[in-house]
This record gives sequence, structure tokens and C-alpha cells, in this order.
Amino acid sequence: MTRAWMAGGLALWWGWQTAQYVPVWNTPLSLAMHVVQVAPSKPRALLNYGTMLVVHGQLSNARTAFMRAHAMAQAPHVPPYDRTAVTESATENLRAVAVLVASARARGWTGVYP
Amino acid sequence: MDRRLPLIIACGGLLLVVVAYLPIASASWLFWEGATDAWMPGTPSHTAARVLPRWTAALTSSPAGTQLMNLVFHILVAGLTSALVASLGVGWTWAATAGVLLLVNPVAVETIRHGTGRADVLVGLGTVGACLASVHRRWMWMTGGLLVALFSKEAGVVSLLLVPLVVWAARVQVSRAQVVWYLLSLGAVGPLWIIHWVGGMPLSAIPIVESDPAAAVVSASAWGALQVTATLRLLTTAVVGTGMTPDFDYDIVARAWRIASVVALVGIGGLAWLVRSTWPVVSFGCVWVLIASAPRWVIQTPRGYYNEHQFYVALVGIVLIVVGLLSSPWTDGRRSPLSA
Repeated sequence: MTRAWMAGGLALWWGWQTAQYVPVWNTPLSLAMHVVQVAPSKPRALLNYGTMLVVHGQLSNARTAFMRAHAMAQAPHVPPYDRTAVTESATENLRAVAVLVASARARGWTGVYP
Repeated sequence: MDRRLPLIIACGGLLLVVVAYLPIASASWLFWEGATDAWMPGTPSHTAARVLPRWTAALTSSPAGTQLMNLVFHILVAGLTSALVASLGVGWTWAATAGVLLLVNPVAVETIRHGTGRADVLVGLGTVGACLASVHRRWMWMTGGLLVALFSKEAGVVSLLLVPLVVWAARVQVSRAQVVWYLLSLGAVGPLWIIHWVGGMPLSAIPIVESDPAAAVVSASAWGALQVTATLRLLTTAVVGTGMTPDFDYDIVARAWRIASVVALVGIGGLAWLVRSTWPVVSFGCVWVLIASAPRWVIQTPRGYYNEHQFYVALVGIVLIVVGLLSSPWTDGRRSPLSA
């Protein structure tokens, strides 16, 4: 009987964890955010997160994510091919964010960045 | 009451999974989704070899519809897994429990909620279906299952190893007809190999350098060690039920842990051999996980390491291990074909 309860408990635990994890896959932003939470020092994950933030107009947070991706890409554990790709992409994206911010300011838009 | 218990367990599991996956109703397209061709990015071999995912993808046009179809296939795989476990002599109550555990395992979420998971769930459907058909000596159905697995994803080749494992472990009497049907399925691998060579994706442990900057470029030994580490992490995640992510940072894992992972996996193989008589279902589940994961250790794929949707077929083995551990005292003296 104890093992039957264990099986039931395990099914409920897994079911609960599934119910918690399913909404993470609702949007690209929620997914990218989750990935960064689990692997905060992964450069490519930070790069994806930053890109999703740009899509959602959160330019300041995106800039932080790209800067962090750039910094993390220099860490010794990052493979050379990943380091090169992320460094180049993060630099390009930071430049693009700067252009977007300048353009928004020129139009007098507020709210898309702090 | 006892005869109705498996049905009650199955209904409870279905209710649980429907509630858990309700957010599918508000699904949106994710990375690399939205178009059928975009499901299989990279080499042309992907689009050529994954015939069934492409056909089924054309049936739905919305993200909710796509994911709902994945969920339906997942429920079918769970049902077939229950039937397979029952065929191995565990009893219908525990067989139904096995199906429910597969249904609600959080590692399956990635398979259901991402378009690329369609190929994996179809491989699962074909593989478990072929194994079940083998136990019941339905050779034509076995071939059908094998073909479903082989033409859903390249990784479907594991079905060609898992079916003989089931036949051997369950001591199914092999007839000449079965050998012929099996060889017919094996013959389907030939065209698949040609598709791969023509598509420029050789099945060997060599670095693949494509135009895609995300392609991992590492040596075969480094790749193998990292993939074994990934296997152990996925195995642990599937049992514990936490720590799921589509992009784990394996590069940060220290070399000592990678070596420890290889030792641990060899240990699991040894354990499976040692308990083959006392805990036959556990032993069978361990070997299932190892066989389902083995191609990932030697075949280098672009875009990252062994992940949760690729672990889908191995997940069936995890469920077998758990049910084997829990059910053992309840076999009531009935001899499982696995321990005969």
C-alpha cells in the first residue's frame, strides 16, 4: 500500500511540476526568460533574451542583457565558436539598441525605455 | 473495484494532463516555428527524412492546434506504454500507473509545446507500438511501427535496436516471418542513409561545420563526454521532476563532472546487468534508456546538446524503471516473461 501511495504522490508531484512548466512555453519572451533563470551565465541564452526584450520594446533591459551576454562570452568555459558568435552578435545588437533609443528620443516617445 | 482500478487511474491521469496543458489554448509560435519548413532548419536531409512530421504538420495551421496534436500523440504513446508494461507481466494496475507517469512527466513538456517535438513523439509512437506488436507477435504491425519511427526522425533508428531488446527480454518466440518483416524495416534504413549522404549530413561523430553560427564545433571525445553528461542530467531531471530547460549550460560543467557522468552511466549499465533477474523491469528500463540515448553520444548534431524533446523515447525507459521499482512486490507470484 505504501508503494501505491508513493506512485500516486509521484504522479501528483510530476503533474504539479508539468503544470508549472507548461506556461513557460506560452511566448518566446517567457521561454527566453526561463532559460536565463536556469542558466544565467550562458551567453547565447542572454543574447536570445535580449532579442526578445527588444521585440517587446524593453530597450533598457535588452541593453543590459546584451552587455551581460558580451561579458559572459569572454568567460573561460565558453567554447571559442560560441564566444566569437555571441561577441559579434551582442556588439551588433547593442549598436542597434542605441539607434532605436536615439530614434525614440528624437520622436519624443517615452515608456519604451526608462 | 480491483478490475476497475486501472480505468480509474487512467481517467485520473488524463484529467491531470488536460488540466496541466490548458495553457496550450493561448499558445503562440516560438523560435523556429510558424512554417512547416522552418520546423526542420539546417540541412536538406532533415526535410527529406522527416516525412511524417511534415505530413502531420500540414494538418494544423495554428500553434494551439499543433500542440494539441502533439498532446494527442503523447496520450497515444502513454496508452501503448501501458499496454507494453502489461504485456511484460506487471499487471494492469501498475501498467496504467506507468501510462499516467509518462503522461505527467514534466520532461515531456518540451516535446508537446514545441513544433520540433512532433518528430520525437512520432518516433515514440512508432517505437513503443512496434515493441508492443513484437511481444504479441503481430509482425506486420511491428513493421508499421518501425516505419513510423524511421520516417519521423533520424533518431528513429533506435527502434531497430529496442524491438530486438523487447523480443529477447520477453522471450518471444521468433518465427521466420518476424525475421522477414524485421529485415523489411531494416531495408528502409538504406534510403534514409542515402538521403543523409545526399543531404550532406553524415551519421558519424565528426564536427559539423555549417553556415549556422550556432553549430557546435568540438572534438568527438569532448562531444561524447558532454552528451553523456546531458543524458545523466536528463535522467535525473525526469526522475526528480525539476530543473527543466531547453538550453542547459553544459559548457560550464567541469571536466571532473563529465568524467563522473561517464562512470555513472557505465554504472547504470552494470546495475542493469546485475539486477536482471531480481528486478527485471528495472533492468529492462535501464537498458531502454541507454539504447535510446546511445546514438546521441556518437552522432554530432548542430544547435546544442542532448535536450528534453530528444529524450522523449528514453522517457519510456524512465517510467519502466520507476514502475519496476514500485510494482515488484505486487506481482503476486505471477512470473513476468522478463524473469522467466
